Amino acid sequence: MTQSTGKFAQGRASLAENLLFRFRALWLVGFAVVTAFLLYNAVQVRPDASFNKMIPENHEFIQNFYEYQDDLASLGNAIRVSVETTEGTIFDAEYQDILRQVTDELSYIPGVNRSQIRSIWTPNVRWSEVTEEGFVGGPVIPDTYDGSEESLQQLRQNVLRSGEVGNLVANNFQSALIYVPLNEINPETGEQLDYAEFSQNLEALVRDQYSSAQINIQIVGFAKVVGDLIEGANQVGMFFVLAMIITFIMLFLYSRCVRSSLIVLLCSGIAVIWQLGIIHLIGSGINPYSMLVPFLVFAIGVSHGVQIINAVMANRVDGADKVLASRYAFRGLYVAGLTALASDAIGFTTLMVIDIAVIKELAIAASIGVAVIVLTNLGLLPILTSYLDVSKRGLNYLDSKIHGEHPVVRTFSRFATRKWAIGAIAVSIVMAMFGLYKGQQQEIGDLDSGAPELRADSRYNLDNAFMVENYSASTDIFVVMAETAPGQCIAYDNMALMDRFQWHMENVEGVQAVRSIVYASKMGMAGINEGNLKWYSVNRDDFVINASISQAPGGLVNRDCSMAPIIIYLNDHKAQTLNRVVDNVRAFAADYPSDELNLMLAAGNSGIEAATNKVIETAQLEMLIWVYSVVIALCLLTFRSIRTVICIVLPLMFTTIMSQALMAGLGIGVKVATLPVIALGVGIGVDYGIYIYSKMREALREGLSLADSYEYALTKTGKAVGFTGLTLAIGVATWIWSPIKFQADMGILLTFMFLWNMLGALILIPALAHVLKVGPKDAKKGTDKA
Amino acid sequence: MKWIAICTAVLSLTAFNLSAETAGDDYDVIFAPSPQAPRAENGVIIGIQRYLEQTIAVGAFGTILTREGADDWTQAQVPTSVLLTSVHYVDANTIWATGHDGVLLRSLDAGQSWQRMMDGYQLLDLELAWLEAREAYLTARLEDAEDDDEAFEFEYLLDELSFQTDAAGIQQQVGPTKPFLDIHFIDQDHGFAVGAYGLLLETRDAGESWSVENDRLENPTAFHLNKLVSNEAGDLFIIGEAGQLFRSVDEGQAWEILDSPYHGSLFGGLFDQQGRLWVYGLRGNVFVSDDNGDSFIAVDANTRYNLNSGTVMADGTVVLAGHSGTLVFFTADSLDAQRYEHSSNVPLSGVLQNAGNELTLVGRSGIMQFMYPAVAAR
Repeated sequence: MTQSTGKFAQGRASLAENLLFRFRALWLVGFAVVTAFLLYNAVQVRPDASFNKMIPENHEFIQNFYEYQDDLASLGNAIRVSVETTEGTIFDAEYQDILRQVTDELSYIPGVNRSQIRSIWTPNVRWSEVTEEGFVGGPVIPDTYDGSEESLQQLRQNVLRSGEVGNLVANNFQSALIYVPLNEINPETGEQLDYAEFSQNLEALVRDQYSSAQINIQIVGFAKVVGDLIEGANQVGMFFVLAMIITFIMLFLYSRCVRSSLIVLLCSGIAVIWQLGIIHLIGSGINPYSMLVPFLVFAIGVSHGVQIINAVMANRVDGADKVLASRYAFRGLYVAGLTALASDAIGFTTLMVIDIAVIKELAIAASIGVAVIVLTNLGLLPILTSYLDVSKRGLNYLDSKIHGEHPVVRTFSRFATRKWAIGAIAVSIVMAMFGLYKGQQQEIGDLDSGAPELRADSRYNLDNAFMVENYSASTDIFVVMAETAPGQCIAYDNMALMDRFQWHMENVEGVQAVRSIVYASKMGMAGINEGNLKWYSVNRDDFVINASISQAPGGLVNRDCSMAPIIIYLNDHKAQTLNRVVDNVRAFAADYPSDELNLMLAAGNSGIEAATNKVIETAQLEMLIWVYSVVIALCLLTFRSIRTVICIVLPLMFTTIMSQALMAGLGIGVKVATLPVIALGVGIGVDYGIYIYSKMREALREGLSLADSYEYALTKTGKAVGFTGLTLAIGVATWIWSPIKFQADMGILLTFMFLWNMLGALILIPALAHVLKVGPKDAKKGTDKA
Repeated sequence: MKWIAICTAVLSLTAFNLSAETAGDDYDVIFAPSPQAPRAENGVIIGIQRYLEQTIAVGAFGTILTREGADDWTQAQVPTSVLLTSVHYVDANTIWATGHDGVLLRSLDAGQSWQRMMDGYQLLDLELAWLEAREAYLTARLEDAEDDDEAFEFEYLLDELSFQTDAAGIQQQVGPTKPFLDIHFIDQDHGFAVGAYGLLLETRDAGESWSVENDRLENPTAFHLNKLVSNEAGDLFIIGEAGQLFRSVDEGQAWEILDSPYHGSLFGGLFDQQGRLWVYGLRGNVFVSDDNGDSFIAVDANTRYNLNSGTVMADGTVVLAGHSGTLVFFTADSLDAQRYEHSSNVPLSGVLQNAGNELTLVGRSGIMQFMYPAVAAR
């Protein structure tokens, strides 16, 4: 990280340098060919929002869920479309006409399971009533419906006795639902449902076509979340362009040289192309989480590229020609660059301890990205400068700036003095205490209601809030799979135990309601006894049980009757709630051990989230231990001094503590999206410390005092560290505007960590060094590695 | 599974206090103690009664809740988890409750603790003995029949009885399935319990022993008997399925079948302050008799929902509660229905008046309140 002043970098040309520069034309062609090839692959990378990759597939809950995934499908993959009237009620001829049209429209959208679609306009929605003669009933829409006042009255009566108020008809009669089950696999073509296309169809054919001043359309369901995620993710491409523009401006302000700024952008861009191309070659896609990686690769590429450009320019100012200047820049930087990049890569690799496919993909993608930066920005970039040179204007600007104290140096050099050092540490301790206290409120998992992937004020979540308010069903669903021998799922003994289990769960705080075949059977018992509530009980006679569930909705038992899902509706999906549910299921299973009935955890969005939370919770500590072990080991290897390690690692820990406090403060939970951020922050953050401390040690070895050594280090790298911090922060800060909530969370946290790490390094490293009495003597030992 | 057993053993020693017969594979809803439930008040509650200052409510999973005045509800320890269908005060301390699977419960300490006085297995033994005796009796009568008409009658009765014998056979295999639906005591010792499939039991020793007396009613098809009420004179009335109405004026020994105004099911009955008998049931059907059940007139309740239960308010207003939160009010001396809907819209199975115009309702979503507007709204 040198900014050579006066003298060229010392030492002889290494083998690597000779290989690179003797055949630089050949290298250039090689880079061009590889880049073209990888670009061809990179453009084929597709957004991949596979649900399975976002969940911890090896967790017990998920394994259990996979076992019965097909049986549970009918519960899950459906969307609900609500048609709301802003004037009057749904018992209006015009409104009913639109509701009928929307129902028809939906049934023709590819992916919809046409035969199972339900609304008050479909013939499968019926009313029934017990009369003196037995059951009577019919379709909710009267056969004679003609939109007249009488037929609307008849419709109203049918709706009231259909039991669909709260289900298909809103409690306030101002909207009605269309329940639309989907075919994940098209039964005719065998093709997988294209969520992006499906979601676009919904918007264009339903929402846009039927919305008006009187009619609002609300759409919720997993397929819509995925569709919105893919759409939102596509916007991230724009952020990348934005990040590039801002970075270019920063580079230009830094160097005042358009040519070198473009070279840095080009090389970093090539790094991203390579990374994406390789991702595609190894058969991977890009998911909403690993979308972060191109940003990181670009930012890390720029921050390393700028060091090289910096050195090339300095060498040019000192009089070397463009080839020599590039050679010397490479010579002076490749070891330091490799070390820093290695620390980044190892930091990313620690993410592999988290057993969730998207995070592993992110770790692999990031490691690949960092590896290619070694080639593009340490290799290609000096070759390019050796051909293209840097602009005269940039050299003049640098020449004018070399003399005179930089504001960064002025501001931060005082932290190596007693008063400021103690002050800074005292303030940090107070802040860290506060951070630790606040960080205890940090929660696991997603904290917001609705679809936590999307923003609270997103169209989807507004629609979701509408559904929760107007209909009687929560969207946080935890499913326990009651497993029995085949054919035994509705045997009395099993039903009785399920009944008690259901009541046990209904008494758990945070549980709204529990539904299962037992519930259907008890309702059916009252039904076949003329609606008399005194019969609301499971009957011991299996024939009677069979009769009681003859009207039960589908999906409450599986095909061979070996499993009955018990569906638990929750108030929210906070980790506490999920833990309480899991604990209570386990407590019940322990209290009522049965060889016949196995209460298996867990499916439903909340069941899966419970599993994810468990994995995240254990992985959090594990990952922190790993990432810090790696960083500490790396620093020990480089500096061979415990005190140095303390100086470098404590500021990082401070950042970790403060970012946890920030998460608690902003209500960002530890989740799939934010857990990797902590490792990324530490892995990249340690670079600053390595840069600064290595320069400081150089001066200490010369016998300079700590204060003078730090000032020297600041002169050499201060500006670069500041610039690197800002570039990294900007690269990820654009994410804050992502329509996808977790991407925004990642953006906020990474921006915070990059900036805070930078400040921590600039302020706390000298302050800690002062307090630990690091002096010229300590620098004598240790190797000259960095 | 061994570790589960160990866990259970540990847990049962600590918090859960389970006996072996309740756990897992041996779970029998008749014997499993009612689970203490924080949300017992929001479960399914079927019956509610008041005696002086105490109110008692019973429902699903053996839940029994009591409260003094307007205090909070407390859940009693109950040695069964069946759905309880009705509750009845004999006096301030003696309370009876009926339940599914042939369960009868008694408390002698004002509802704090409860004993099972009958369960479905005992009931089945009683019924089998009764069926045998009944069959022997009818067969003997058939043999002694003096003419074809008489023979035909006993053949018919034997035929109907054979359905009950078959049902009892099934119960022997699958376990007890008959619910008791109501209970009434004439005095401390003498009481009757009624239930599904024409079940009528009598006790003369405060419930220590019971006898099956189904044949006192002319109910060969074994219709369900839903409700037992009595008037001030002590006349007993049984109200049942398919409009069945029976009356006894001699403390339940002889029962006459009344001329029913309705062939659909009747779920309840009550006497108002004028001594009129109200019966009500399926699809909003309400009938009133001012001659002790000899004749009825139909009353328009302005609803098509089932009416399940009723009470008489202090001012003589009759309140009937039914499905979909339906509440129908008839002010004293009036047969004009004022209909309201409780916002819950759930089936209601019981209603009681509190202070003023406040009603306590019970039903599928537990215990609820309703404020009756003093001035008729419609």
